[in-house]
Order: sequence, then structure tokens, then C-alpha cells
Amino acid sequence: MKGRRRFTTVSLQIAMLVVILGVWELLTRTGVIKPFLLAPPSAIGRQIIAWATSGVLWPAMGETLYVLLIGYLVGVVGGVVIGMLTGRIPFFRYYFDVFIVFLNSLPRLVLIPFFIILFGFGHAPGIIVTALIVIFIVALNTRVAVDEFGVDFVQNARVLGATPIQLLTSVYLPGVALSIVSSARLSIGLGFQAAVVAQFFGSPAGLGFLIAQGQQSYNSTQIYAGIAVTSILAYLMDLLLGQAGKRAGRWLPANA
Amino acid sequence: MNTRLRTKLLAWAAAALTIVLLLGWWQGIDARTASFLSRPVDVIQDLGNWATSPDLRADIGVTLAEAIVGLIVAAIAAIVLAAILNTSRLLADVAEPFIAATNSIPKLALAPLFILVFGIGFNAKVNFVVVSVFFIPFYALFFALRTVDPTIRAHVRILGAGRLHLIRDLYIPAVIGSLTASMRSALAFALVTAVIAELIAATAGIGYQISSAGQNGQPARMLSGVLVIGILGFVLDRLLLLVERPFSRWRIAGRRTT
Repeated sequence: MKGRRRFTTVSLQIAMLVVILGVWELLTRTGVIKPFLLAPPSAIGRQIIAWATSGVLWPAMGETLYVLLIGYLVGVVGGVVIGMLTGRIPFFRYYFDVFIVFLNSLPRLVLIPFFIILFGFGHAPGIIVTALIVIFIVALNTRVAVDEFGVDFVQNARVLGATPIQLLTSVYLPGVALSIVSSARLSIGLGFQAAVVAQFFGSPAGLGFLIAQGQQSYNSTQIYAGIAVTSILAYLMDLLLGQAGKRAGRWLPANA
Repeated sequence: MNTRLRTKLLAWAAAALTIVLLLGWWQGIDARTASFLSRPVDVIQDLGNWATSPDLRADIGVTLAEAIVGLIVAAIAAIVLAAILNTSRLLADVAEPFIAATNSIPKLALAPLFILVFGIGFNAKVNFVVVSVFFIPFYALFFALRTVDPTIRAHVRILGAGRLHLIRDLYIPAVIGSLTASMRSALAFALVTAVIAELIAATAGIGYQISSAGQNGQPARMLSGVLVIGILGFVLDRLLLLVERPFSRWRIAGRRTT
């Protein structure tokens, strides 16, 4: 019965996908919806294939992922340091809270044009904004990991005679690593979005650049293709990180 | 308790000192650096000029209108669609992967599309905000409705509740908490989306002021624009928190009794 229900659901989903794509193609082909407003799926697919074969797509992806990767790493390192300090030492908690409350209520993407003035049209504005977004998420999760989540483990380890260094390597760092992996889905998703948006503003390369170029040359098919590639990439990363997060938390007791 | 208070005061004093030192260092930079970084006093001065001219109120009005109109339309659409999809278990199951796929689109990447299709005016921004923000309340509602316990639903129906009663006494109480909570993050995001669209192409609004200041080499105006958005976001968030609080308190109390 359950298998049958699942079969019905999946086949309806496939049918729905075919119908959506078919109607979309038909409406745009026949001109009921202007192809300028909504490019037909076949045209978007052709554009992506053309990019892939002409060597535009992979460097653009690489460019965006590079900004994301560097920004993410900077954000993680900074976030772990701040999170550890604020989680373990009350002085730093109150000290950093002043800055965190202030900076967290500021939409950091708005700073992109300012960073462009400061650092030019290179990778720097995207990297800084990505790092600024990631750092708070990681710091918050790290703080929770070493502060609240760790209490039971810390006490148990102490009872078993752990030295401070052993505590660090076998309780705090695994906890922090876990919190980074489990928050990676959120922070990489938001970081990726920031990396793409930063490339809208005068960047000479990247997925964001491809989308912005489509807008400036009045080529909506190019915008749709750029958004499609960006979305697929985002979806794949989310899927992967979701799995990683599930795996990473497997060893935890159910009530931790 | 006493030592905790002392640590707190000491930390705040240190934070204040850090801020003062930073601002002092910033104020003291040389003229060449200041031409693209500006100085704290310049920013304050610019904010004062902007606030006393009628422009600031108009710019805030434009950006706020884009964000709030977009947010309201998105919330209504989310309520309607979530309610329709939850009329049947099968429909909700079939729709779920499509919703998840659409939701994973990085919304801000759509900004150039809306500008190309709807132009650089008010409409483009509202449409963009609606599409970007829609999923936040929609997801909250969709899952809140799905988690309504079928047993409770059956009990209520056996007790003779009609459709109207079900909506009023079961569904609305079940979702109101997550709806108001989601509106808080939706509002913050609505403000960001409106400003990002204005940064790309616009004729008015805070984002427009920031981008045109960037093109005209007025770093002080850029920073005062950023400051205005920060303050605006903070104030709106506090206001929504006031609205949200009674609902979330009520929800927790309701949970405890069941």
C-alpha cells in the first residue's frame, strides 16, 4: 500500500514536470508569452550547451566557486576563533556581542558597492562580503557547540581524567567541526548567493557576471541560462551538504 | 553575580574603547585615502544634510514601500497557495520536490531578470520582492499545515466542526505562530532584495542613492546610505518583534496544556 502510494506520487511528479516544461515551451514558442519575458526551455538548454562547449561556463563557475571558497574559509576561521572565545570566556562574549548585534542587523550585501570603491573590481569585494556573512553563522554555531552542547561531554571527560589539551582535541574540536558541518548548508547557501550578487557589480567574470551581462545586452535567454546554472549548482551543493550534515551527526546521542 | 557584572562592564568598556580608537584612527587617515574611504565626521555630516533635505524621507519612503508592498503580496500569495496545496495529501506530496527545487534558486540572482523584464521603476522592485520573499512564509505555512495532527483533526470533526470551524479553531491556531515568526525574517529579506534591485538600476530609493554616490565618488553618502538601511532594518525588526511576541507566547502556552 505504501509502495503503491509512493509510485503514484512519483509518476504524478514526472507527469507534472513534463506538463510544466511542455506548456512552457508551447506558450513561448507560439508567442502567447513573449520569449523575451520567459525564454523557452529549449533555448535556455541550448544556451547552456553553447556555454559549456565554448569554454565560457567552466571558468565562470570556477570564478564564482573560488570567491565562495576563499570567502567561506576566511569566514570559518574567523568564526571559529570568535565562537571559541565567546563560548569559553565571558569577557569576550560581552565584548563581541556589542559588535555582533550591530553588524548582524546590517544587510552586508549593501556594502558591496563600497568595497568595490575600496578594493576595485577584482575578487576582493565578493570574498569580503561572503566572509562577513559566513563568519556570524559559524561564530554563533561554534559558541553553541563549545558552550551548551559541550557541557555533558566536558564533565564526563573531566571525570575520566582528561587534560585541558585532551579536552580541546577530543571534545571541543570535534564539537566545533560538527557545528561547522551542520551549519555549512546555511552558510554556504548564503555565501554562494553573496558571491553571485557581488559579481553583478562590475565584475569581469563569474556566474553573476554572465547574468548581469544578459541584462545589459537585453538577452533574457542568457539571464535565464545563468540563473539555471546558478540554481542547479546551489541545489547540488545543498543536497551534498545536507547529506554531509546528516552523516556528521550520526554518532551523537539522540538527545544531545 | 558581582564578578559577572564586573566582567560585563569591563567588556563593554573595552568595546567602547575599541570603537573610539577605530573611529579615531579612521578620522586621522590622510586626504588621499579619505577621498574614497571618507571620514566618520564626513559621514555624520552627510547624514545630517541628507536628513534635513526632503530627499531622505522620500528615499526611505520608496524603499520601504517596495519592501512592504512586496511583503504583503507575498504573504497573501503564500497563505493562498499553502492552503490550496494542503487540501489534499497527494497534491502536497506531488508538489513538494517542485517547491524545494524552486526554493533552492538563489533569489537575489533573479534581480537582473526583473529589471530587464519590468524596467527600472517601482513595479520591477515590488515584483522582485514578492518572488524573493514568497518562500519564507510559504515554507513556514506549508509545513505547519502538514504537521497538523490528523488525530486532532479527526477529533474536532467528530465533535461536529464544519469547514469554517476547522479553519478557525484548528488551522489558524496551528499556523499563526510560525507565520508571524517567518514574517520577521521575510521583512529583513524584503528590505535587502529591494535595496539590491535599487543598486542595480533605479531612479529613487536608498539603494539608488548608494549606487549613484558610488558613481559620483561620494563615499560619505554611500556609508550614510548603508547606515540608514541598518537603522531601518533594526527598527522594523523590533516593531515586528512587538507584534510577534503575543502570538509566540500564546503558542507556547497552548503547547503546554496539550
